[in-house]
Amino acid sequence: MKVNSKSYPHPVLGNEDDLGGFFRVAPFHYELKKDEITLNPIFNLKNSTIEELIRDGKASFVTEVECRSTFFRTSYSTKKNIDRFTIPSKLVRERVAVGFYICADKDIPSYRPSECHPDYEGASFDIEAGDVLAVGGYTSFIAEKNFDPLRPPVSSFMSIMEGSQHEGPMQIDYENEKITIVLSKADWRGYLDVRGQKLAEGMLHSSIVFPVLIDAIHQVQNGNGDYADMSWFGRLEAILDANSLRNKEPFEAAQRILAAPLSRGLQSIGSLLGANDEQDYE
Amino acid sequence: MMNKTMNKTQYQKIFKRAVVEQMRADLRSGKLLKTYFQEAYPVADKDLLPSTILIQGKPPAIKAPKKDPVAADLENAIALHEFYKSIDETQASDSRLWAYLSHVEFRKYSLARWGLPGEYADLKTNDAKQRAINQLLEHWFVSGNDRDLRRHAIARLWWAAHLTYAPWERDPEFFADAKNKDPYFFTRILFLTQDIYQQVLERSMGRSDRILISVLEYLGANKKFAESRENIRNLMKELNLVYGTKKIIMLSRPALKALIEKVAKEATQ
Repeated sequence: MKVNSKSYPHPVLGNEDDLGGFFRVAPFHYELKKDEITLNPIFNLKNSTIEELIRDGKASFVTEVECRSTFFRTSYSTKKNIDRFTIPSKLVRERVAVGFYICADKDIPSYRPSECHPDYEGASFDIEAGDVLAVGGYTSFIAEKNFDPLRPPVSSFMSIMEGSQHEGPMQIDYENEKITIVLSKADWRGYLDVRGQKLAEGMLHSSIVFPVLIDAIHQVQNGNGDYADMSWFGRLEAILDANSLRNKEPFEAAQRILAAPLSRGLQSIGSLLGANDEQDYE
Repeated sequence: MMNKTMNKTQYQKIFKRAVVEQMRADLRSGKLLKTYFQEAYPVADKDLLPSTILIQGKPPAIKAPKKDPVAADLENAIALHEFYKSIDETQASDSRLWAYLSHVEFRKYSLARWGLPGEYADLKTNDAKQRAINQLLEHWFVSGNDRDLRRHAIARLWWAAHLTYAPWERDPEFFADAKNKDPYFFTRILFLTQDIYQQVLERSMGRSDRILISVLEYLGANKKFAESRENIRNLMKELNLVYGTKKIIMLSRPALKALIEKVAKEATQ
């Protein structure tokens, strides 16, 4: 789970080394059903002052859910370490971002958290309702039952189409819901001849999809803000996270996602050459 | 006697996904640019799909008065929302629906409000063509995010009405004291000025209906404050800064109202 460091006016658990102890959400399960999505976070907290604030009803575990495709943003508060929230499925689409916090329910004057970093030693803080006391990280999922980030079909985030040029290099358009590879008319005709044939898949993946995917992974890993709202971006993020590829080199990550495109491409060529040899003997 | 065809229930047509992708690619390459000066858009039946959106009767005639096209935004938003009331949020973020509505169903309005000035022949340089293409991509297509929905010729109107329609029905406990006879009470505030629409909806906080409605409530009650673009911008900017360290989305209604008032006061100082 990602955590971004921030500058808070008071020490926050989970923000760098402000406070000792931890606040983690593990495991975080979600379930996609036809009519609703269930979120099941398990909050693990170790910091005596904050634990006491929750016990005393002065702070809560807060799960913030946001979907950029449907203007959706809401939060769920609980005092329980294990809880369950439901979102109507119709309210979200594509990438749903989830953040976990502990926030003050009411004003807490002279807040003195335990296990403070020496920089805060002896200091007290006037906390207001809503102030973040602990950050548990952020994650996201794709709100589509048929999308499995562990076995993603290329067509779930990429499409290939005919361009208006008669000849020339292929082009990439990142500003669509899916990454769009635009082929010249001549290449498009060639593509249509082999599309859908099992033998050609490895070749197509290694020659067309692979280079584009490397570039797209670069865009995701660099957090390119221009594309962050595009559906393909969220899907690729989910694929990278689910396969633990977020920090791998794009070159390696793309090969893993496409399941060794080079080997499959070479096998395709081998099979085609073999078939031609057999034909020669006939 | 009531005209039978007027109330006929049918499914809203939408473009096929591949068709929208091809349209965008063709516009990007410049191939389709000329068609955005034409009143009719050629659509083949094979390019369309019936959606699951039920509609009844004829779509409303939305207007873009030449003198002041912005003036009709509120009226258009309510008319569209009333007609497409059965659409849910997932359907309303579908690029195929909005591309169909801007290119076909409400083409006349889209051309008048978000079309290109002059004639195709006026686009003499590649730069001019590129600017025109970018403008069309921004207002005639959506790509699956709410920034595009805020800018799309038709989606922006529907969503503005939807996000502000009778919040006390969606969140009865929180908005119990905000009840009004007019379900579009907050929509009217959102469209009071273009600045309110842009500044309030452009910020990610606008995704929370609790924050959105509370801000609109403040602006509606403080019209003098709301007349200044700078005031609204400062208010939204400050609230955004506060959000970085305080989850104002979880505040009670009185606490949220008090916070907005405090931040607004500071914004004018």
